[in-house]
Amino acid sequence: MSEIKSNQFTRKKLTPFLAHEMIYDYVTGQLDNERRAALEEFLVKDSESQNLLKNIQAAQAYTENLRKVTVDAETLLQLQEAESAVSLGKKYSSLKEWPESLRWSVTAIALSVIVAGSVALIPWGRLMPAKKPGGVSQLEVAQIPQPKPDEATEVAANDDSGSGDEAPDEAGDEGSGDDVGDEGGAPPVNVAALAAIAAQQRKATATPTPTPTAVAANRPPESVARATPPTFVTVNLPKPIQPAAAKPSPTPAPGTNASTNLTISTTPDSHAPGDAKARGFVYRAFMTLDNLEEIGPKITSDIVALGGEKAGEVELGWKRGTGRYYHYALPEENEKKMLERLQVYGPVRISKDPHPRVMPPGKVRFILWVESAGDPSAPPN
Amino acid sequence: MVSSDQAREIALFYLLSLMDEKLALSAAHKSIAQLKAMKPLENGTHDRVDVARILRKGFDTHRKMLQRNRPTEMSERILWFPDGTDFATWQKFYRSSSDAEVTAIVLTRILGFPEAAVAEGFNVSSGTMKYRVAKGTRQLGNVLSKSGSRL
Repeated sequence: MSEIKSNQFTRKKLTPFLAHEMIYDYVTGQLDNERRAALEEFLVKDSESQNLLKNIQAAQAYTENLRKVTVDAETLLQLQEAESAVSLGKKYSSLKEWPESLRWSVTAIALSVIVAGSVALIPWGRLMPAKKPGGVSQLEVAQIPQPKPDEATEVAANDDSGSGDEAPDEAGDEGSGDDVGDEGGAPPVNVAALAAIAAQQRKATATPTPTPTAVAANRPPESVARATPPTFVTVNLPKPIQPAAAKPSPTPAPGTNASTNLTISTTPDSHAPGDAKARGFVYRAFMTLDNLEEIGPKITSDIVALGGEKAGEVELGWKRGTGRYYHYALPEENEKKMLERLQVYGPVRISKDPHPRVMPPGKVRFILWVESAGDPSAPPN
Repeated sequence: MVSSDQAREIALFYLLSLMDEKLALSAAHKSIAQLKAMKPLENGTHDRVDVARILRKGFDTHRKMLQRNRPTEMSERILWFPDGTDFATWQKFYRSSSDAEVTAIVLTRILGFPEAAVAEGFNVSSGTMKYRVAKGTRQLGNVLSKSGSRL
């Protein structure tokens, strides 16, 4: 097709108009071979086209020279500094373009704001709980409900020292040592704390790792509060010379402050291994002793000597505050021996409480709390 | 960032196409600021089409401020012509040609812009731009022949 067209073109005569229009293309080298040949043939004959060709070539040479025109350098520098709002914003959007002093100042201010904001917003109190002064943490203890009227009356009838009157009232008073004749202003024992501890131990049977601190802090559930809370009966016994000779007596001698007191409480029908509702039981014992630092390890060794082993997560004689906590399981046949051993050190108040945890046959469980005498901490109410 | 060569091209375009120093420098100042606001290519320069577009808009805006055939106001210090190059020839060509031809000649023949880029920047077809360049060249040649100078 192109051959036909080119042949047609060459056969046609090149007009001056066409030739004049093609001269620029000829000068810039944009003509094909056939057209260039035709134009060259025409140029030979046409002077006007020749003049036009020369003019175009002269114009090209002139424009080539104009390419070398220079602009005033100072003017160029001023023009290069031209900026618009957009260009300025784009320029200073990058921190690297800022002056160094300004950059460091902004960085310092930003860091200061960040640090101040983090200090102000972060709840440091929750992250770092403040310690109470004095080293003794008095935590809210569980409320042990008052015993039933019939049990309170029975306990009062057996009470010689009048501690039975106190027991129902002080059942919620954490079973302070006052009811066993501690006139030295011994600090009360945290009965409810022990109840909380027992509750925590019950949780330990379901959960693998209860923490010691949580044990004391948790409230015992309502079920632990017992439908039949124990009452305390103070029994004055003659001070045993040998631990084996001492036996708890239901009729204590009055006025024997020097005697060893063993307070036993019983919860009628509270424990029946075969009873599905009551399930198991636990002995809760309380003592207030002097020189606990020396006696505490002895108690631990006594427990171990009688075949006792810890029944909870904490070790025997776990120290908490001014007291020591013993949670252990003991062979049933050594139960009396255990009490006799404890009486050697001082008066013991013990109660037998129902508990959902059932020990294996032949084993009984004790929760012993020994408070250090002379602790100025007031019993929490 | 606008290089010194780009600044020179923009200044030269406005100086040769407006023939008024004050107005040309004002137009160049604005065009360079607009160019700085645009994202450059990887080599730091700007696309020729974008430059042509900015120059066209600047020329259209500032050309309205000029009267046709008014005497040129250009100081001798602002432009330096090489030896043998007559500025009067350009002035005669500027007065005898249309704005389209003048701008086409300045961009393609003097500043070396590709015809296709100028056509796209001026929003015309490549054939139209080629015709403008050809016509402008012929006109410039006529001016040169009438003035008796060939350079």
